[in-house]
Amino acid sequence: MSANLGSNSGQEVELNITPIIDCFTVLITFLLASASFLSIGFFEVYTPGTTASAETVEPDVEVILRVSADQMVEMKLKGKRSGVTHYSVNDPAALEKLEGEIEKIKGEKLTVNQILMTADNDVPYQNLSKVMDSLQKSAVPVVMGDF
Amino acid sequence: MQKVRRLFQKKKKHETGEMSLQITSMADIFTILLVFLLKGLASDAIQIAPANATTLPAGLHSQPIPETALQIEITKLDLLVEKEKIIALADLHKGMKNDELVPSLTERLMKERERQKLIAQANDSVKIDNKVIVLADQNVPYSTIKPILKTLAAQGYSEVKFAAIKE
Repeated sequence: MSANLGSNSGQEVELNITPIIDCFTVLITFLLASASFLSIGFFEVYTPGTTASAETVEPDVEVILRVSADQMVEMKLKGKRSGVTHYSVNDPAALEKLEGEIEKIKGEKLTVNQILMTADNDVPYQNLSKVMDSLQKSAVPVVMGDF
Repeated sequence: MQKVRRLFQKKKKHETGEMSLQITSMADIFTILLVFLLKGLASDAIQIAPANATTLPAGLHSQPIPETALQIEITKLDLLVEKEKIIALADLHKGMKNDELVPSLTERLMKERERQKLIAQANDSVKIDNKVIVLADQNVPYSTIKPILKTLAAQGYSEVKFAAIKE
């Protein structure tokens, strides 16, 4: 890197960028050390009795999910559609089916105000998160807890 | 004439074994890296960093993090609110009554609510927040999460955002 200061003088001035490089190195090291490369998102869940969950209009279908300790999730439908189905928590295809079932109900123009989700006491949070993950696409508020 | 002199000088440098390091390209790389890292740092509205022992679950359809919210962390051993230890998980059920509320968490949430009310009184643009971010270890059982959720609900925190690592 050089700059010519006037054609008459013929003197070449070199810009010393070594201190700039030093500053950059320190800054980059600091930023790399403090940077987090994990992208964190969230699953939106409501607690019982909140405005999002306590809809005044009676829903056509009530959806109740129960995650059990044997790695299964039970979906109970009440109202205009009824029945009980079981899905494996560890099978992504089964969870897609669960999500598809809710989409199907919505597609039939039946109202679903909320999905009530409960679990057995010894179910690890990881299994709950798998079910929550599959429900996020349906855009139906998930209410967690049977208290 | 100048060209001839420069060539001669270069030849002379080469002969003496003197080398000049070309650091202009390195400065360019560093500038790009710096801009990239600074942008990444600035894009995060809130800093979410789980404790070392906490393993968050993975999520495909997880949504972006909200602007601000109270952070509650359930590690393998402790319950933390804004990085401050509230209670050890081993003692979580000890102080509980029939209502299944966690007294120490209730106390901390009430303090937080008071703080939010004070801020809201002083600043009209600030509203009392009912959102809370929960960073829970993936192996924590539901029996631990349930009383915490119940306590949150009792204190008016209705929107619970469970953190997950985006896949």
